[in-house]
Amino acid sequence: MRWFVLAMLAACISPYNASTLPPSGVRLSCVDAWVEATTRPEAEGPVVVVHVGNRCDHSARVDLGSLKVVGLDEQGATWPLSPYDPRHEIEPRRMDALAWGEEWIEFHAPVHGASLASVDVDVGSIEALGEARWIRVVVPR
Amino acid sequence: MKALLVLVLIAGVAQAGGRHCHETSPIVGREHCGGFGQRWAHDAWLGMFGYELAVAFEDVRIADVHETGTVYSATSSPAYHLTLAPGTRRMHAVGPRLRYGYRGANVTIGVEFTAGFAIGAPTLITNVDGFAPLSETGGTMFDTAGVVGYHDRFGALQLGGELVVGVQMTALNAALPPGFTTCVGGAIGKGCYLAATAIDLLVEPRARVDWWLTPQVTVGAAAGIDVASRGESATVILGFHLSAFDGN
Repeated sequence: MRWFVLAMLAACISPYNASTLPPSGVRLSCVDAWVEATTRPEAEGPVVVVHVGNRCDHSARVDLGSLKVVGLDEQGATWPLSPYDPRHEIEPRRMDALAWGEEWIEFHAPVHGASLASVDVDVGSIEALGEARWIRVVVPR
Repeated sequence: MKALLVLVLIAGVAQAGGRHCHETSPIVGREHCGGFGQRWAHDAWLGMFGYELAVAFEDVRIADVHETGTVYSATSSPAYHLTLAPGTRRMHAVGPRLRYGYRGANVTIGVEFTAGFAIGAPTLITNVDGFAPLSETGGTMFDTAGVVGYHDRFGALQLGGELVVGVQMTALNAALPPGFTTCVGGAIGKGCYLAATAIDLLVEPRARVDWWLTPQVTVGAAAGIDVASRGESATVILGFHLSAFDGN
């Protein structure tokens, strides 16, 4: 009965509403994406919160491992950032039609202690053959 | 078997959703309870937890019946002989069909159980020694089968084919004179009623069409021909799916 109830609940799952894409968001071929930057006490670098929503009526491939992220410090120097992924979890996954969600990914600069003021994120890179679509977000202090 | 399958399904849900884990961080690599993609990526195992409510109409060929034996009353134990009356050799039955298994983007693998209650059946004649012949019309059927299938979606329309292999049990009701049963002394209870039963192989290719009402709900229909026993079936189906479009 429990799994039946789960199945019934599934019928009520709210699908992704493409009109909720904020002005800073990017519309890719099927996937809408937008990002925020934040800091967390347990993190050793800026955390990029990637929001994704699939507006297509079929599943779409999302590759957050291909996300290109560049940090900018207060002097204007740029730092290529790499994701913190000790368990090697970040890999391409399929996203159901009209599904939505978010992923919090911590990024590290090649030099420890770099004080980053903002990050540039190429969200176009999460779709195969996607054009570069850079979004700049400020890292809160 | 059915109970075992239900237990396995419930155990899977309990394992997936019943753990009490206190999450300390939402960050990939620092999460204790969840993992990457848990909040947005397709989970193939959810295909195990779809559910279908179906009503099946079955047309079943009934083989000739020539069955003999002994029936009992409190005072006598005469022989009986069951035969089919001239006329139709087909039983039409309607009943529920339940299916358990996996339904993915393109593949279905599962087991199904169909119960059918006769809305039309051959007449069974009971000849009990010393009594006038009695007739009875009615019966039940029960299918247990494995299913494999392939389907593809075109917008809201989904087309597919399935192969069902299993066994089909049919039981035709038989009448007995008052006071007689198949149990010694004319006892009554489970297994004391006379019926002509048969178990046949079921090999049924089916064509199936579904229409996605929402990303999680389908209505559908299926029709098949039992090539082993020369029967036919038609089904209307209401399906609930945890993954949108089964991940397709």
